[in-house]
Order: sequence, then C-alpha cells, then structure tokens
Amino acid sequence: MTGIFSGGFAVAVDKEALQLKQVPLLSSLDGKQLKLLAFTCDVFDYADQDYLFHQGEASDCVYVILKGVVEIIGSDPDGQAVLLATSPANSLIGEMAVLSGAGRTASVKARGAVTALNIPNQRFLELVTGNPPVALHVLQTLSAKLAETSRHAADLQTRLDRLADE
Amino acid sequence: MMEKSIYKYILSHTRKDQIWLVLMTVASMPLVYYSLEIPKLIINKAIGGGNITFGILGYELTQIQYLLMLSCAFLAMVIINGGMKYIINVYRGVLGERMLRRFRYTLYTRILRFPLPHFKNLSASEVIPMVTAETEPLGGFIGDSVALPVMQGGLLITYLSFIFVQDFWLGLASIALYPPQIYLIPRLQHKVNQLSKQRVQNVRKLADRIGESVTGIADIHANDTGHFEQADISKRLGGIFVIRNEIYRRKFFIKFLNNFLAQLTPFFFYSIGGYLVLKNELSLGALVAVLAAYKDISPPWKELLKFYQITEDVKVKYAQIIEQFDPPGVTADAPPKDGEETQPDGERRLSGNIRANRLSYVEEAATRVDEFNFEIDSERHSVILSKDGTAADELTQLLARLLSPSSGSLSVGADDLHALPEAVTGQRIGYCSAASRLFNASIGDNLYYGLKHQPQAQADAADADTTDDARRAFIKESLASGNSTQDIAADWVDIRLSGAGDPAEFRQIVLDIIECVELDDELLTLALRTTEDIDIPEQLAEQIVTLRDQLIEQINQIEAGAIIEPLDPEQYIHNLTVEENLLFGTPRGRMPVADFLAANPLVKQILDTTGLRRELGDIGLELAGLMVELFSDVPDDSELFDQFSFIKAAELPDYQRLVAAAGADGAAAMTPQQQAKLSAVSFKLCPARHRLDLITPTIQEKVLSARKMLMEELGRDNDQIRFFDRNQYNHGMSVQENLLFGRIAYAKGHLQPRVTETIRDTLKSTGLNQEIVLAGLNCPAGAGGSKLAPNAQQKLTLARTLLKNPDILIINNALSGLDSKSFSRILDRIIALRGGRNLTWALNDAALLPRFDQALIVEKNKLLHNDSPEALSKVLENL
Repeated sequence: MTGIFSGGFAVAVDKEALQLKQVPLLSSLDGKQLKLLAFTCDVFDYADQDYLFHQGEASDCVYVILKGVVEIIGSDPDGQAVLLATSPANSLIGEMAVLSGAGRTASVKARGAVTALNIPNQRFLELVTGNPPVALHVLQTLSAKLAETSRHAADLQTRLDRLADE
Repeated sequence: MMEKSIYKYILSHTRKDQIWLVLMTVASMPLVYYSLEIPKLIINKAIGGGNITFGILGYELTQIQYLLMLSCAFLAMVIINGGMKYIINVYRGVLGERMLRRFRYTLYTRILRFPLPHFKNLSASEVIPMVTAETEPLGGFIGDSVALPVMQGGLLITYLSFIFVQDFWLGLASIALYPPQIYLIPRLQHKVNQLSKQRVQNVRKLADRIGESVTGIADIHANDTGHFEQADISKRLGGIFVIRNEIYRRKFFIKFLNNFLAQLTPFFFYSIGGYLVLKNELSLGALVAVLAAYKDISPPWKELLKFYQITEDVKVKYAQIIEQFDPPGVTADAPPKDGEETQPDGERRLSGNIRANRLSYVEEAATRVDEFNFEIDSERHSVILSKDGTAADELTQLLARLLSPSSGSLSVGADDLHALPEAVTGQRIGYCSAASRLFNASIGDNLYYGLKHQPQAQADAADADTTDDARRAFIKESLASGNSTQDIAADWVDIRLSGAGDPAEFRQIVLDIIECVELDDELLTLALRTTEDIDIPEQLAEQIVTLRDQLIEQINQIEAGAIIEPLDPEQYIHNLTVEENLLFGTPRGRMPVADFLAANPLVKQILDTTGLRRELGDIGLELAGLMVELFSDVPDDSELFDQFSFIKAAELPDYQRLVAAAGADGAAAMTPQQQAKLSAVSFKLCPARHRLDLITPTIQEKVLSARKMLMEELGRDNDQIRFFDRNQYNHGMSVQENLLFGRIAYAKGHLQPRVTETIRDTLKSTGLNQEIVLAGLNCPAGAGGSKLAPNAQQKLTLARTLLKNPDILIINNALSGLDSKSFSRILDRIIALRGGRNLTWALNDAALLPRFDQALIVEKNKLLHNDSPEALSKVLENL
C-alpha cells in the first residue's frame, strides 16, 4: 500500500507543502518537514478587506499567503492609514514581530479573497532554531532590510542637510 | 480538655459497651468448654464405650442414637459458638470504629478551635496523618481493650488454679518465671516505646517535607534543587529505617525472651517433677496432668504479653496525638454543637462605633500592635494605611475577632468584641484579605459560603416520619459517636442574611455583587465554554434554543459566507470529525465519543452492515501511512503528537508494522481487530480541519445512513445518546455550542473573537447574559479556587464577604493582584454599596485616602495618626 504517494488523497497537504517550498525562507526545508508544517498549521480564508492583524497587536503567529494579495498598511504621523506595500502569494508575513517579540509594526489586510497558512510563534521559532539554512536566510533578509534602512536614513540625512543649507 | 490516657477516654465513652463485651465473652466461655467436652464424650463413650443403652431425660437411646445425638449436639455447639464469636467480633469492630469516628471528629473539632497564630507553626501535612493514619490502630485496640485482658486473664487464672490444686509446688514452678518476665519486659518495652515515639515524630516530619515538596514543586524545578531535596528525604527515610530496625530488634528480643522463658518452665517440670515422681513424692498422673495444663496456660499468657505490648504502643500513639491537639489558648468559644441556636438572637446586629482602648497584640514576644486608641465610626468609611503592611494584618484580624488582644480592649457599641460568640461575629463581621481562601466546590458554593451557618430546612432531622431510613440510621450512628447530625445535603444558604426577602431579591443582590467586583465577564466566559454539566435550568435552555436563529443571523452579518456550519441531520458536517458525524450527538454520562463508539455493540453492528468498517479501515490505513511518514521523526514528547497526530507516539511503531504489512487489498484482507484499529484512526479525521479529501461523497452517504440507523434503532429519547436537535437543548454540549448549534468553520477560525463578541452582544441585548452568569456559578472552582484566574479568585472572596451584608466590613489588602484602574473602579463601587454603613479598608496606597472619611495611619507597630475627615487633608499634605 503506497497510498500517500500514489493515491492522491493527501493532495491538499502535498499541494500546500509544494507551495511552502516556494517561500524563500522555507525553501531549504525538505518535503517531509514542509508537509508536517502544512499538516499542523491552520489555514484561514479571509474575505476582501478582512484584517489578518492590526498594528500594535501582540504577535502570535507568522502567515504564509497561499492565495491572493495582502496590503501592508502603516500609519503616518497624523494617524492616517498609509498603504506601505502589497505582498503576493508565497510571501511570508509578520516574521519580524515574532522574532523581535514586539507587537505588529503594521496592519495587514486582504485585497480580494485571501487564503493564508498560520504558523504559530513557537512552531516558527523551532523552525528557525532547528534549521541552520532557515536561520541563515532570516539573517540575510534582516541584513538586507537593515542595509536598505541605513541607505534610506543616509538619504534622508543628505536631504535634511541640504534643506539646512538653503 | 481531652482525656490524658487512652483508657480514660475509652471508659468515659464506652463503659456500657465494654461491660456488655465482657459479659458476652464470659457467657461464651461455657460454650467453648462444651464444644471441647462433647468430642471427648463422643470418643470415650459413644464410640469407645461398650454396647449399652443410655438414658437421657427419661428416653432410652441405643448407642447409635446416642452417637447421632452427640454429633448433632456438637454441630449445634459449633454453630452457636461460631455465631457467638461472630456477634462478639462485630460488636467489637463496631465499637472500635465508632470510637475511631468519635476520636477523629473530636480532633477535627479541636482544629477548628485552635487559635489562629497556632497555625503559623502547624503544617497541614503533619496534621492530616495524625487525624487519618495515626488514629487507625486505635480503632482496633478499643474493642479489645477490656474484654481481651479479662478473658485471657480469666483463662490463665482458671488453668493456674487447676495446677495449684494438683500440686502446690508445681503450680509455683509454673509461675516461677512470671516475676522476672514482669520485671524485665516493661523495662525493655519502655525503650521500644521511646523509639516508637521518635518514629512517629520522624514520620510526621517526613510527611511535612513531602507536603512542602508538593506545594513548592515549581521552586524545586526552578532552582534545580531536586538532588538536595532527594538527599533530605533519603536522610529522613534512613533515620526512620534505623529506628524501625532498632524497634524490630528489641521487639523480637522480647519475643525471644518470652519464648525462652516459656520453654524454661517445662524444663523445671521435667527435672523437678521427674525427680519428685522418682522419689515417689508425686504421682505420674499428676505430672502428666500438670504438663497438659501448662500447655493450656501458655497461650493466654502469651496473649496477655502481646496485649501488653500493643497497649503500650497505642498509649504512646494516643498521647502523641492528643498533645498536638491541645495547644495553649484553644478558643473557649467552641463551634456550636448540634441544634444550638447560632442565629444572632433574633436579628442581632452589631451597632455602634468600634472603640479600641490601649489595644495591644503580642505574638512570639514581639509587640505587633502597641497600645492603639481609636474609634471607628460605624456608619462611615475608614482606611487603615500602612506603608510597610505591618500591623495592618494584625489590626484587621483583631477587628474581625480572628485574633484576641493581648491587652487593652476592643468594643462595638456596648459589647466587648471578644466576649461575643462566633455566631454573632462570624455572621455580622465581614473579613476579606489577600490570603482568603476558596474551597473546592462550585463557584456558587464559594460565593454563598458566608451564608451557610445552619441548615435552613432542618425540619427533617427532627421529624422522623419525613426522613428516609438511611438518614435516620445516619443520625442514630452519629449520635452514638458524638458526631454532628446536621445534614450536609440540606440547603444551608440563609438568603435573609444577604438582606434579601425572597429568592428573586436574592438573585438580584447576587448579580449586583458579581457586577460590583467585575466577576460577570469571567463567569459568562466560563459558563459559555465549560462542557461540564452546570445544571442549565429548563427555562434558560428553552431561551437558548429560541435564540439560535437570531444569533446565526447576527453572526452572518460579520461576513458573507458560511462562518458557522449548522448541525443538520441530513448533511455530512465537514467541520466535525467522522466519529462526531456518525454519532451526531453527545454520549450521556460524559463519555468521550471514541470510547462510546468503541464500546457500543449497536455501533459495531451498524458499521459492519453498512460496510463502513472496511472502508473506514482503508482510510485509516492511508492516514496511518501519512502519520508514520509525518511523525516518525518527531520526538515522542512533542506537543505536535497530542495536538495533531491521529496516533499516539507509543502506538506509532504498531501502526508502522500494520502499514508495512498491508497488501493490495488494504484493510479488506486484515483481521477484524486490525480493521477496528485502523477505522479508529479514521474516526478522528475532520475534513475541514485536516484538509485531507479522504471522505468521498460515497462514504459521506454511508456515514449519513449509519447515523440514521443509529437514530432509528435507539429512538430520539434514549439513555445512551443525546442526539443533536435544532429544537432541543443538548446538555452534553457547552452553552456556547448550544447557542451556535453548529461549528465555526475551521477556515474561518480567525473570526472566532468576533463570533464571541457577537454572542455576548446578543446575550446582553436579550438580557439572557445574567441568567448565564448565574449558571456560571455552578462551575467548579477547583482546589483552592485553582480553576479561576488569581484575580478572579480574589474577586470571588471579596464578593463572598460582600454578600454576607455584614455590619462591619473589613477588607485587608484584598484585590492586591488587580491593576490600579480596575482596583479603583471596584473600590468606588464598594464605597457606594456601603453608603451609610461601616467599611474599614487596609491599604498601602496614600493616593486613595481622599475617598475615605477617616484614616488610621500605622507604621511598624504604632498608630501614628487617627484622623477625622477634617484633619485628613492636613495629613495628606504632610505625606
């Protein structure tokens, strides 16, 4: 009996596992690990404009967008909502807050129907600490983000200086 | 006071019974004698005698008839003798148990009377075995205490007299060794007594240390002191071993000595007796008779020695128990005896101001409260402010009459507070501190605890006609052992004490107090979620059923699409597991669904006739294969196993073999046991949750028809399953499940908080929330209230105190766990609730002073300020 490989009944889990493979951070995990991850996580269907989470909330999980697009929304100094970015399918959402242990830095809501896999904090941290390639990837991503932020800061500083000179 | 010696205690309570026992024992002795005599007659006369006839009571009997008559007489003797023994043994047992019951009850009652400070040095783990285990041997002893020495002593004297009659010197020889035994054994026994005293003390300490380890288990782990604690226990066990070892050696030495001396006497008989016979100063017959008699005196003498040892042991144990139950200052004011009137005389209330005059309290040579003079207004609100918390504890406990002043006086109006009976102070003074405890009962029982002074429906205890036999027997037996005869099952809650005139008013008062301390949310959540049976009243159940449609409508407004999948009997429910779909109800008796299905023969039959077992077996096989693949590398103790695996870690290898051995025919080729094992795996499958498309429409159809067969076979109203029914409340489900009558779709799990919110709003708008809060009172509070959050525990103890509606309300730093905002809100509400009545609150936050009318400011053991409202502002400036 080789059902799980040939029978095709476990399609959902297999399919989800294949999709998780597309997520850069998780791409180094083997098929079995991804399958276990898919099997042990909840998948939620969000309606258009539904919030996955709000800015400032405590973070309890990381999301993988399986289907649809989400909007990442911050707030400007006046407290007005500002669209910061959008994230397509196969992106990982909310990992920064989980790693830093702080609250959510932005709100995320569904643009159109969205399906997302929900990886609880503890599971995600186990993945990072238990798999060096994943940890390395996290470091690389964060370094890249830091570099970009620094460049951004330098850019702003230049502009400020120029304004001061005028 | 308790009797100092166990014999005094026994005789003061069982004198009559002991006399009865002795009489019965003595009366049974002739029977014993005859049951020995008749066999002799049978052998010597009926069998061994010549062929003659016997005249009995004027009848002529042949030898055969005589033999039969004697044999029947023997049988009768055996029966009567056995019956007599049975009666005496039962009587002895009952007597012992009754005394044990009395003794334990007395000890417990003593605990209730210990002065409070004594509990600081008292460990529960030490006291519990004293009342339970250490008293145990006393029960067995009490039945024997008088009858056994009387009987064995009587036998001994009888046999000795016989020997003395035969020959004075041989008689003397047979008791020659009694004096050394009587001299030596008590001395040896004395040491054993001391050792067993030590042993008892060491075992108590051991119990105390084990108790400490249990309560402090988190600290042991947190500090990694397991080895340290183990070493300590090892040392203590070692100490007990050494003592026991010593006791054994000494005990067996005493036994050895006894045996030796017992054998030494025959030595004298053989040597001296033999010498006398040879010298023709004694007949051989007499020597043989004396030897036979000596064989008879040995057992009673041994019994007496054994009895002496047991008596000594029990005496030590008794003395060691009661000395622990006689601390100085046991409150004179004993808890009420049965039937004693404890209602405050009519409607006795405490009125008038509380006055302290040079009030002092000293504990362990430290002055905790040093000559306080103050007056607290009975109609206003006072605060006791102490920054370091010292003195406030003692002061509030003195005010609540939990402690007695060492000197000075404390009075309420015209009454000396400490001269009032507990029945008045306990009912009219409310005291709540952060250390107040909850009991392992329902939340409601805890809330009403302050109203349970006497059973309210006591008529049944007095009126014999209305009580059933069991209750009457209980009362009779309780009286015989001096226990309480009050019925714990009666209704003890005196709603009048809360100020309510009728149950409707009481209900409102309870709700108001629950809201006052903000316990309503907690209770609502508990009541909605718990799957334990919380006795939802019929009317509320109907209202919940009626609300179902409206609620679903509200929930569907959250978002378009199916958030809740309703429990439709005609549909396969994708958000339920296979077993839940099959059963489509809840097993009565709160049995887990899987256990019910596995044990029910009807289910087995249905699974076989529909062919479901085989098909589910195939699904189970595939699932097992998936589980083996996914979980074989997961550590056994991982939470993932518990939460997600269909198969327990320990069973995984079993299934691995099953999967490996499966052929092309799958489950069909397997044994019924293997099929059952595999289908049990498939039972746990929930298509919506696990996202495995294994349950094909064909299987769904089959599950539906199996569901129908089960329903038809059992009928709607049966004693096994409560089927899901849109029009009926299901007592096997939680209130929330009953309200929704469906499952929140797994894919919509993120909407759970909003669904909960909608449920609450709907309940509030229909007013049903109050009923459900009240139903929440039926939830268990757990040991020490452990099922409630710490904050909720403190709120509940405060609510309990408020519900008593006391004349004097003392709150000692209760609610210490609350955040300052909630605390402030609750404080304001209680101040409003107690308008025009006394409220005395010990705090350590000076910012709250302005809310009170009067302030006592305490530092260390001194009263610094005692100020009126006018002076309060000045004090505040100085702070």
